[in-house]
Amino acid sequence: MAVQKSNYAKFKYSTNVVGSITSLTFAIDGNVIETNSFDTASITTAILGRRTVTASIQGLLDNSDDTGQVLLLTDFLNASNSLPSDFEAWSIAPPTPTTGDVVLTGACIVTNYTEDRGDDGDGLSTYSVDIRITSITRSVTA
Amino acid sequence: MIVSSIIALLESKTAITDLVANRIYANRIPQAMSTYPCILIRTVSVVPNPTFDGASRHDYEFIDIHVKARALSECDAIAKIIRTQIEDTVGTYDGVDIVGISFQQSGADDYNDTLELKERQIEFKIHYKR
Repeated sequence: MAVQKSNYAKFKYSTNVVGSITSLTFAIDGNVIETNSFDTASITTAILGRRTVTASIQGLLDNSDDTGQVLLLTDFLNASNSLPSDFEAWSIAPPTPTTGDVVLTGACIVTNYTEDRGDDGDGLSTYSVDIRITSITRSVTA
Repeated sequence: MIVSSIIALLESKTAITDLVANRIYANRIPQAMSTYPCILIRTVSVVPNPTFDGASRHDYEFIDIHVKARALSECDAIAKIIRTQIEDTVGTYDGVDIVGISFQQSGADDYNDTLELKERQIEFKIHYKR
């Protein structure tokens, strides 16, 4: 049984691994479109419509990281990232994929960025990023 | 464990050493001690902050500081000075890079009838780099 550790997946944005991650969530939400009416059948039938793919990343804020974490913020603030051609590459994969490992890749845009400085003033600062994924490819390492 | 670092921090504060001299101990006070007040420090727990990159690089250590004296009012006065002197401290003490210290709570006062000593316990959260 190929159970993986929860921290086995690395998130890469553009060409950089985003460090100090404490949580990584990947979600696909599918919309269904109903295809029958009340008087044709007692069971509602449906087809799968468009799917919304998102990922949420949380971690410890590292102000010295100007290639991974901070790139997510700067791209979020960059107004020119409004065309599909401007979207960045992303990947979720083990640190060093070996045969049989699943690798997810695609393009995305940053849709939300927050920093939490804590409610007690003595803890570690954290950040949270949401990305909207516009393309996704699932591959298995040969 | 960073108790030695906290001892070094307390010993660097003249407002504290003026009252307890060098009677600041880790875990237990020496046998046959007769001069008070004194300070005893104990580790309560250590909480890590691991990330996907590996083991925790920043830990939280919760420590109890026990102030022992003949009178409870003396314990409370020293405890108050300790809090004023060390809370929110940043710096390197005994080789440990302390990022912050915050007061957590003061425990119930105590009385040791064998030694005839009053005691006040105060807890701090030490945030430091490993």
